[in-house]
Amino acid sequence: MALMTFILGLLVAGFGWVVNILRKNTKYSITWLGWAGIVLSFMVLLFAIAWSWSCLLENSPRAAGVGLLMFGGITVIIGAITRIVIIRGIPTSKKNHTDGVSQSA
Amino acid sequence: MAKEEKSIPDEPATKVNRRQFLKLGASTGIAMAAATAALEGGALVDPKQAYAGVIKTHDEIPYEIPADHKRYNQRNHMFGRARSGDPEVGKMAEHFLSHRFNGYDGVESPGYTVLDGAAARASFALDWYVNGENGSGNSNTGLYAWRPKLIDFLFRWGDPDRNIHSPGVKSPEEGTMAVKRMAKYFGAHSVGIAPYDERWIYTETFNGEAQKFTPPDFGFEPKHAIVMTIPMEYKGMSCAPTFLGSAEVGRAYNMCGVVAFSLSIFIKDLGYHAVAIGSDTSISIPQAIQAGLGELGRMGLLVTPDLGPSVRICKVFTDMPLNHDKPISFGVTEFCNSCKKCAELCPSQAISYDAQTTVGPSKISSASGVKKWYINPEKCWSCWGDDNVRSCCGACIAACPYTKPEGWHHTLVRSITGTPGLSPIMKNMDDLFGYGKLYNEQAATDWWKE
Repeated sequence: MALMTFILGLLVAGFGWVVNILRKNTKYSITWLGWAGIVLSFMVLLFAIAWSWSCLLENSPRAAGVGLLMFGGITVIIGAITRIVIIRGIPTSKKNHTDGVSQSA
Repeated sequence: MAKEEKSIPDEPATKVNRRQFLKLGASTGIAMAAATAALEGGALVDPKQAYAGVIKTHDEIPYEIPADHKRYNQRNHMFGRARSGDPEVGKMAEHFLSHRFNGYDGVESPGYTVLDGAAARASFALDWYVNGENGSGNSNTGLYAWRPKLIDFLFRWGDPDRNIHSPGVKSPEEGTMAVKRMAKYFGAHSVGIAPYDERWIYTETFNGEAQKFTPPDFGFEPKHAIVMTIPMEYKGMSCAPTFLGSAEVGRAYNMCGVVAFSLSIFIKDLGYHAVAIGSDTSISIPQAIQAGLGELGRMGLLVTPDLGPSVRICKVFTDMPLNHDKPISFGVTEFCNSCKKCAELCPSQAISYDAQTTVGPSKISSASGVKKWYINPEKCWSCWGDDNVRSCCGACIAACPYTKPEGWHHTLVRSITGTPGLSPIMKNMDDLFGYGKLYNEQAATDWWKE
């Protein structure tokens, strides 16, 4: 259990590092929704790892496997939706029609 | 001459230099130290605290009990009927006793081996040979003697009328603190205090000393019932209904005697009257509910917040000044309404699938009147001697989704189990995750590894 907590702590620290790199290097403008999705996806991943590890410690391998499948699957789904939100952006109601507009008076 | 500008080469953002690494490490360390201090050693999200928020207290027992509720006579429960010479029940008893824990019948599957049978018999030994099989309702014997004869020379223990320490506590608050601490010290998992309610006391109990049914007579008028739960380990109960599940039952019965007797002597040493009670003299479950230890489950057992139904109950009746606890609820009734897993897995199909009612199926043994789920006691006991059981069963305990080992994830799940609408999903999740199986051969094999 102590080892599990330590590993989860390392993952959190590593996540902070990755977020820092992502922030500086991405070509996309990540909105608050994108960041929320990234954080939520990571938290569910942590939960999946903690759940499965705890089930293995109590000698319930089936519960561990089903937990990893279920919560890991949720992680992937949230991650995929977040990726789409980041790449495509949030749909807006008004579009800027400056393209091709003549500047002549 | 143009000055040569010193240019700092561009560093890829993925490379971390010494300065950045030290900054990251120092800030992480400071953040962790601050968080630890703020949480004062607790968790950011403590499942136990979340679960405690779900538990509600009530002023009265949250069950419909008729005003003219009749007290139960122990002659009418299955073991009592066997002792009274009931021919139908006598055959069940013979069937059970001839097959109980018998690994010599040739079936060598995990949980039913000769070793497993010996483990079960040995686990029950103390209860049988010292307490006269209190597990089947024998009172006033061994550690449960109403007037135990103790060695006189040591501080006049056990005789409050001659006790030099009397009175031992300054207030009911001090008394309550003391008995709860000592109960847990002796081995109780949880302890609650209820008023001594005559409604749950048998009109007659099987008096082991007199070897006949008599009204309870302790030699004093109790005012309180100190009710204690003794844990049955998940490792053992997950082997139910094999012999190893029964080994856990026997071990818990032994502990009941030790805990109740020791606590009764502690109270007597303080100058008050006390008597140790096990599975005799009173109906344990309503007393435990009244003492705030749990709720009634569909299978007819006490379901506790931490251990589910995987507990045994013992009591001490006393006249020591104490404060009472309040009954609790935490979603068991709502969950049991839809779950029915114990009913599905019961080897004898003795557990009701129906809604709560006030009339039980057995004309003699059901304590009808209270609105609750009733099991069929004849069906239940009749299967204990069958080839696929040959033990004290316990299948309903193993099947119950509330029976789980200790773990943050189980506490978290329990905290949301009583949420309206979630109960059917939680039951299906319990099945999907592989919990609550009977005849668990892997569990029975692993039992011997520790």
